[in-house]
Amino acid sequence: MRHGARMKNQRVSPHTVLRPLAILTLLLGCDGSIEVPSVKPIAVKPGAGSACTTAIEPGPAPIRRLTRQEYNRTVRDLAGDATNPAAEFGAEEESLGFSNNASALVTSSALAEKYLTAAEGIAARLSSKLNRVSGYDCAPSTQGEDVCAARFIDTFGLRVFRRPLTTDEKQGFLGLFAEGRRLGALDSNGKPLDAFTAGIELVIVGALQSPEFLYRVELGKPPSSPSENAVPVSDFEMASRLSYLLWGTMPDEALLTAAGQGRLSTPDEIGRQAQRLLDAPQARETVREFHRQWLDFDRIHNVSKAQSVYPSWSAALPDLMEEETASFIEHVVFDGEGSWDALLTAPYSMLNPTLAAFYGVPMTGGTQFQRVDMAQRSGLLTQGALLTINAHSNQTSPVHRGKVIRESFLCDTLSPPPKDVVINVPEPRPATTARERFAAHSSNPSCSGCHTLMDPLGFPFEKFDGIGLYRTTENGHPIDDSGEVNASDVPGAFNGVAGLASKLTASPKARGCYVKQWFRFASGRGETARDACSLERLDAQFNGNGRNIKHLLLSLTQTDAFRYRPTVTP
Amino acid sequence: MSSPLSRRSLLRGVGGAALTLPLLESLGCTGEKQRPESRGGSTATAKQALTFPKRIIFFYTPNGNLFLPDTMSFSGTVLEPLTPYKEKAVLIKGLDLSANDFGPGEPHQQGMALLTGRHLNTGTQVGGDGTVSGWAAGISVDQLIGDAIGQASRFKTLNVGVQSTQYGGTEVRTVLSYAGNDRPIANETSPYALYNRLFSQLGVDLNAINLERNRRHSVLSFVKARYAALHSKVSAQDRQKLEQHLESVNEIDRRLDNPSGIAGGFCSQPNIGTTLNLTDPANYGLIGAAQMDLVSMRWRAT
Repeated sequence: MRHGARMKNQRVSPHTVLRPLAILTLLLGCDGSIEVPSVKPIAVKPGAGSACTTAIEPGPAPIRRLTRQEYNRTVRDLAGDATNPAAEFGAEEESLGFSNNASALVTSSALAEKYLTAAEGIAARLSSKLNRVSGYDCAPSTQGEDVCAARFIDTFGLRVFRRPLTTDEKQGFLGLFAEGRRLGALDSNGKPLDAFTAGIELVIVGALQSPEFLYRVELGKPPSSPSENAVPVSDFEMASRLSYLLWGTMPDEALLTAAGQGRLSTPDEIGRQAQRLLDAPQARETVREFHRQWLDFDRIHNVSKAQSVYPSWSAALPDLMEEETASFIEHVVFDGEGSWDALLTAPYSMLNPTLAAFYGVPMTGGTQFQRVDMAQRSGLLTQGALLTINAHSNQTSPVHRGKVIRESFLCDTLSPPPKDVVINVPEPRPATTARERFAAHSSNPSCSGCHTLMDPLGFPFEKFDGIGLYRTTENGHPIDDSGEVNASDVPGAFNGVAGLASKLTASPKARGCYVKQWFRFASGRGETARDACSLERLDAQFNGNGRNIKHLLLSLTQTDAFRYRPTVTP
Repeated sequence: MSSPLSRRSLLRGVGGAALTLPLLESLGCTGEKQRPESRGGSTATAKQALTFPKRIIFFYTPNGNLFLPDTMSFSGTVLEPLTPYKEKAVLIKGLDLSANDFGPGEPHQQGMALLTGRHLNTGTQVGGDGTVSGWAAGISVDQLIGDAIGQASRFKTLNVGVQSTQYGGTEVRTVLSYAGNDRPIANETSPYALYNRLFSQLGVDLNAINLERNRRHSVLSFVKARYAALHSKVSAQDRQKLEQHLESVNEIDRRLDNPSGIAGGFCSQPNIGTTLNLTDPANYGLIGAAQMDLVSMRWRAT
């Protein structure tokens, strides 16, 4: 199942294990811009035409609920529970293409009930191995049940709430412990548990349903004056922001320690921690996940293809194609050129022998996914998974391919088709090309208004058929893969995917769109007018540093939106 | 239990149309233990009919691919399985709810506000053609009816879907029910998860069930206090989010004391067999049938 496929990808596979990377030393300027040696530092100063002023503008910071993936990873790190209990929670409410949008996520009573049963399961599994909880080491039989319960609440509480508990909160948990102890509990075989464990289990069940666990509750630092409308997030809140952004899970010991020592307040230390997280294998999973949600390439599991038209299509391909695209992205970002440009233009992909044979390219050595040169290809644009999902079952779809470029790469919103239009996809006919079949879109005035924004961005893909295979003819006719970018900052005609890639890499709008997608993913919300300066700085630093994607992630941690939040006015 | 069908046929018991009694028997439940009032012969059947709780169901299939006949012709149409109930059936066609046609969103989004009788809010959820909209602006009629007739049930309503979240997750186009303004109710798309939710207490000792209920009451009152403690500390928007969550916790807490019908005490837990691939389009029919079987099983219980 789709969800299962995602969960499977969370595991660190051998090829995602971090290869040795040159550790970059960060030097931070006073204005918060990051300088990485060998790349050009860009300091964005307020000036003419700039959205930036001296005011701090964090934009909104709505309370964020853990996604299923975050929940699973968090309980794995918190309680050593790798059973993926969130698999039964049901799909997240998606917004702007991402599953972590704070305002879209809603908790129904069915979900609240699943939180309850998941918490009970986690508690039952954890209670038999309490000494695995970091920082907890206590023997109730010799040290006393109350001493051990208090110690457990202290150590587990810090990690489950991702901040130290207040005195009141500790009292509350001790009360729950006493209640659970009094009621008793049964193990999974129906045998009574000892009273201490019965109490501790109830503490865990309560903690795992608390808002401080299920949500990322942020109150910010106290404002220095009542009129201040933006405040820095607290050190512990920053630890969570960094960890959930880059690892999709709760803060590790190093982050919690740094927060406890009050060391997560400066851009300098935030950047250093971000670099540390980015250099670890978990960050690779996050980069894969962002692109998976941005481009929806896991939809490859839902496609069906006509065997009569595509005899080489097989049920084994969706898994392989999803992995191809995810490993390609990971390779470019972490092991290859690292840049936005390479993401769009790389004349290679990551294949295993089955995929290489499918695409008809030579590959030597090994059965694992590895980099294979493919001269006809142009990075992400020509990934088999994307070409295949944006196609019909029996032919390509210049419309869908163009639409992805328009909406996902240029962040444009297209108007819907007229309500009375009858949409009939032209059937493939012998001796025609797709360009001829879809010609009505440009001749019929009720279609052409929108389709001139999409179709000319889709025809350049025509040398790749509906399952991503390279071809030069269709039905015996040579393919014309010329295209045109209308209504953009890089107008004009071009040829093929390489031409499209040149247009996109030269387009500040496409670059800004990629930055914006990362900003939405990182912030769990859409951008607002108040984010104009954060976005402007991000874009300038991205562009000024070779459009390096890891650099973009570091820059994200330096924005007002990341370091501050609006003052809470209850 | 190796074939995906076996689990379903197990759950189904014998006969397709007369689902409920053979089904309960297949779970090791006897009608006598289950419903003392239904003891003995034909009187019992009549009595049982009287005590069968009041239920309502809404089916929805999207994209206009399911064609209802123009007359009351059941044979050879989509209505064929309902033929035994033909005399009790009324077919209504051609209703329009024009409130849906206005307001934000594209038609695939707008149409999903169907049961709310209102149009959608503005928002950032992307529709099929890139148009954006928000959730619906108020409670849907199924929830309203559930509030009236479902208060004594363990579950007020069951919201299930068949592969409905497979293409875009839970979003405006995949949600039919609303608990209120901006409060969508996501579908349960896994018959296995639905089964666990509905029947996990089968075969469990009644004392154990009571203990579980007491522990749940304790922990939920602790959880409610945690939400209440945050109430005054967060912004108005966050508070709304947390209040929604709290309301959902309240709801499950309240329902812990409702009688749980066949769940618990009498019946043994069936082997539920191997897992059906829930994303394979070829399994659409099997999943749909399993979901319907489970809902109809649950219908028998209070």
